[in-house]
Amino acid sequence: MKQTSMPASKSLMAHLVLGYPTLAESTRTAEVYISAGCGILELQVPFSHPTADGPVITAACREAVEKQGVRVEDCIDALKWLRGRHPEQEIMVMSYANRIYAYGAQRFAGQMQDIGIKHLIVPDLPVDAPLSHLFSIGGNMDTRAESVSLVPVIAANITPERLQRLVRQAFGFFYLMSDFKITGGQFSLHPGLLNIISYIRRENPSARIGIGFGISEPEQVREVLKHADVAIVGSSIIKARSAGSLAEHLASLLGAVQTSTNKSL
Amino acid sequence: MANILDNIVRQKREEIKTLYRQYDFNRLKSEAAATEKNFYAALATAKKAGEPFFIAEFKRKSPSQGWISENGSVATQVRKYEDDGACAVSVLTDTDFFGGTYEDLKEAATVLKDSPVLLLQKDFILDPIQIYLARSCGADIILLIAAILEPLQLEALRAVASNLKMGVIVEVHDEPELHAIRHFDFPVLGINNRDLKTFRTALNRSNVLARKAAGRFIIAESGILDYRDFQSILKADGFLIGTGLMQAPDRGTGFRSFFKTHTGRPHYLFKACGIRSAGFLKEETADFIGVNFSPLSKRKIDPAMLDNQALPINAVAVFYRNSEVEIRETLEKYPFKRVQLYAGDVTPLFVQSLRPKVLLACALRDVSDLERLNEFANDVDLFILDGAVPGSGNTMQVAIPADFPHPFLLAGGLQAGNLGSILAFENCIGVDIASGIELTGEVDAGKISDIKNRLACMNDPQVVDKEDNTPLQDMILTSGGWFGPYGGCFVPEVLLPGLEEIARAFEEIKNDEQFLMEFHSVLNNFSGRPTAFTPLPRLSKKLGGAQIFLKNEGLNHTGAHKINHCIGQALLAKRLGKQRIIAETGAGQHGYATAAVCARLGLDCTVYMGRKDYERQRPNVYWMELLGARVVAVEDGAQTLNDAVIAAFKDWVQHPDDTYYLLGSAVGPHPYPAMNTFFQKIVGEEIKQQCAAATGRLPDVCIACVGGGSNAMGMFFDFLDNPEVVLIGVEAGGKGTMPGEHAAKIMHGRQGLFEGYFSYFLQDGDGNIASTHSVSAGLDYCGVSPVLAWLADLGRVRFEKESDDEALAAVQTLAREEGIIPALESAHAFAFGFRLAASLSPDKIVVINASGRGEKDLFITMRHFQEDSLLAYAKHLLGTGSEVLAHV
Repeated sequence: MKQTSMPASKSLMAHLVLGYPTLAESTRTAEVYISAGCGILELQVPFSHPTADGPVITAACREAVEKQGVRVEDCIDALKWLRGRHPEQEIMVMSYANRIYAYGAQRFAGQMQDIGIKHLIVPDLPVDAPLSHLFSIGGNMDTRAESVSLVPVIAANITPERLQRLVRQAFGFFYLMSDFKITGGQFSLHPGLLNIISYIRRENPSARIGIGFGISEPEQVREVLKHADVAIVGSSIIKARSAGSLAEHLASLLGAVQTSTNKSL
Repeated sequence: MANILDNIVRQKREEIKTLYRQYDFNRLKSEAAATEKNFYAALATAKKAGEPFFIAEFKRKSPSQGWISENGSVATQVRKYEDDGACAVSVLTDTDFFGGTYEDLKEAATVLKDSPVLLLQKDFILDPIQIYLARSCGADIILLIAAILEPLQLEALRAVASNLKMGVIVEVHDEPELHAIRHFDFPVLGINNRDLKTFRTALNRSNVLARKAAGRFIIAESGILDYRDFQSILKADGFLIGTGLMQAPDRGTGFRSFFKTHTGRPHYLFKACGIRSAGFLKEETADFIGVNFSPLSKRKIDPAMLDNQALPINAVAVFYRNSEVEIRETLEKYPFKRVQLYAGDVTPLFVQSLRPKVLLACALRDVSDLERLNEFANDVDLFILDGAVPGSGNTMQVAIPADFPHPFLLAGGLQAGNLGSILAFENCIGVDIASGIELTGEVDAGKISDIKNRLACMNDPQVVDKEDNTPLQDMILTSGGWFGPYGGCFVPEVLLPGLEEIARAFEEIKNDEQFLMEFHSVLNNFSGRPTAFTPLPRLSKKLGGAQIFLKNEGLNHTGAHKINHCIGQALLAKRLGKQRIIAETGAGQHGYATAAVCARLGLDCTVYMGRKDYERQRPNVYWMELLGARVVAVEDGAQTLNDAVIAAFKDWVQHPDDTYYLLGSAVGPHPYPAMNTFFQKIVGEEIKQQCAAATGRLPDVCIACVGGGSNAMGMFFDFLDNPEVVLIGVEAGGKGTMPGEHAAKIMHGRQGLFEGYFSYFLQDGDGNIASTHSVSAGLDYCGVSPVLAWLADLGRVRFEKESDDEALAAVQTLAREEGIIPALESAHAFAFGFRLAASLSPDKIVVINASGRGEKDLFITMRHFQEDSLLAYAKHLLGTGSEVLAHV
């Protein structure tokens, strides 16, 4: 039976590192994701020291920064190019805070808005960090203004008070860590997430919930989509691309998304 | 030019005759009612609040400018002034020279009727009828000009105004006028920057005169174009601005900025000098933009570039060794509003003949140069005190007196990393930088923005606004992790609960006597505190300067200061019930200390170490393992300290509940910077006592090396609120100034946000963290304590750097002269300390922190000093090894 408070359609959010292995190849890969039917792209601006990523994404970042010399500007150009060809595709951008700060936070947020990016994932910036205080020196990072919003990335150990505070801020998307791990780790689903999900559903029924970290198999996609709207995959598809099996891997994951959607309808 | 003032006065006498015909004097007098707005009370209120008293003037024309606003609406303009925050509005009633009327005054009075904003009638007052008329039109304040009235006349007219409860400003232009009224009780002086003979303005006039009028309320008048000029007038309590406001290009924000930018706090100005491309020739580049015309300068502009270029208001034409003819021709051709001249090139007479504002630079060679500047004091707008060879990037060779009386920009050898030095001068209002904004010979936008960011921090109320009675120490320990704009807690959400738990525990133990007793007991019984405070008499004598003392943190158990915070944090972890400790280490000293303390307290210990450090610091790996720790070699990235920190964070993400991250410096997210400072401050506390015991007083200078900053904060903390003690941090200069060749964050880094905190980081222009180099692994790190970043901006801690080679040489010097082998990290502090001590007198006391002992550097220093012996020893070891293997 369809729950009225829950967005019905399920989707796959597919991650890649812009500039890996080359800028052109990463945008081509993004188009493969799109044509395969990934509902959301998560495109990461590479950083020399991705402090919260596992070995696969760390290596991809290093390659993009050190070998390809990919600049923030290049990533923005790539995003514009993709947007031009896929005006309706939902895209989220992920970047570590220092790259945004160095580029000029306000300028960056403005560019995102122009391109039609509505969600920014900044893993080392708690969504309620005192932004104006910090970023006034280099320009204001006013990501909650207008249409660009930060995405809270939360884990099962969030305190109830803090969860309440974040949910009240009416974020449109919540990114849940499947368990205490770094990206690309062994998949498991922390039992504590279920309470968090039902709390978010109750207090902010229109918000979408994505679960990521360690998802690599269709079965895992089905499991997280029992609870979430979006299954987020990164390391496993980056590995599949390198191994030449991207299309097959995506197809099997998207098949799982399809069955989950049918079930929930 | 005939004296304009004489003309005005002649005309004014005729006007007064007309007034007497037009009005019945006695009726005017009897009908004039006292004003209800109290000028003096309003002044006192502004002064008490530390706000300048702004008087904004409506002016239709002037003898020097011609028509400014022939048909402007008084009401509109006055409302605007009121909205923008003016304290009073001035309206001219002189018709012949300034185009004003008493009707204008009336119109303004109608607008301000119910407003607290006061109304000043500006005219050339010679007769009481003008005052009665002004009052009847609604004026609250009048201005009396000392240049056209004898003191006794001034006094008589003041009495007329006082009877009407009107405020009086007595305007003076020069010293004789000021002298003439010295015995009269005129509480408010207007100091006019204009020379009434030439009608030329010079802002520094009001500084010179204001100093001589101490005790009176000073309002500076004339020649104030924009916010830059407020900064140049240091001694005024208020400002009267006319033309500058009437001509402000943007009557929206431009207006407001006039009133809002100057709030009594120093706002350091930045002159970017040697601009030679159109891209930088924009007002927003800096507060002043220097365009160089000197034939001797490698930064000389190609004048053709200016031909089709609008000159911004803040462009300064810079001349050095140009002839007066050249200067004149250039200024005729290009409409610069400001010009910079060298004191040695020109005479006061020449300066007086120029229309643009004059910034006068002096190349300081000897004291006579400073004296020479006084000849110009009444004719220039601002001074620039430059190094001996202009534009060479060399630092000062002649000391500028800290109380140099005129406002000035400091120049010579300045760059982003040493801006704190301007705080030493009472009247320094900004910086003039040429070579410091260049990268490989070209002006660099990144360098300019670094300097602006750092000055913004120095101007930032969050940095500079400390309650007068709040000691720096309290601010650091109770700030919740914010040190000015630095610090914070920028980590993935999943780590917040763990950090909050530690922060709460830190709050508890700070004042928990039982905990602190245990902490100190372990420090004493396990680590061997207090550590020695050792005079270095032989070296002091040899260097021929200050007396040098050494604080020997190397005598701690495990060989360095690191164990102080390891003991503190491990006890805290135990208190929280954590059984598993993780830590990062570079050279191995923090890991070694952590492993020892964990063994002592029965805690499980995992240490992350970059693969490269793991391989080159094998002895420490062995010690850690012998102490029961698990040492994990990190294969990511450059395989050094940074990668170890990240690996430790990643471990913590995966075990947030049962694990305590024992971070090894005064860096990282809150509460680590404050907490490690707290556990390390024992170092400075001991120095204070030991120095008093040895010398009977405080040290003059304390010097520590700076990597992340734990030993420096340990040494400095107890002295932060003793401003007479100079604190110097020495960074690793490595083998050069290019990226990747050094680890000098304060000197060469830029602000950024990494590994949980906001501070200075070595990074490229696009936000990627740069690689670092230092011969000492402990300093070889990309970030610096946010506490030190703040103290650097505040100017409380000075920063220097020393190269690999200087550090190695210092190891040898200290070993040979005093029998102590310092760690290579500490040797950076000694290298600088020896040089500084040699330049000081023997009554000075310099203390240098030996943060660690040098045995750990065996192979590095041996390779440097005795490579042959090392090779021989290695061969011997290998030989022995193979023999042993053969027996297995």
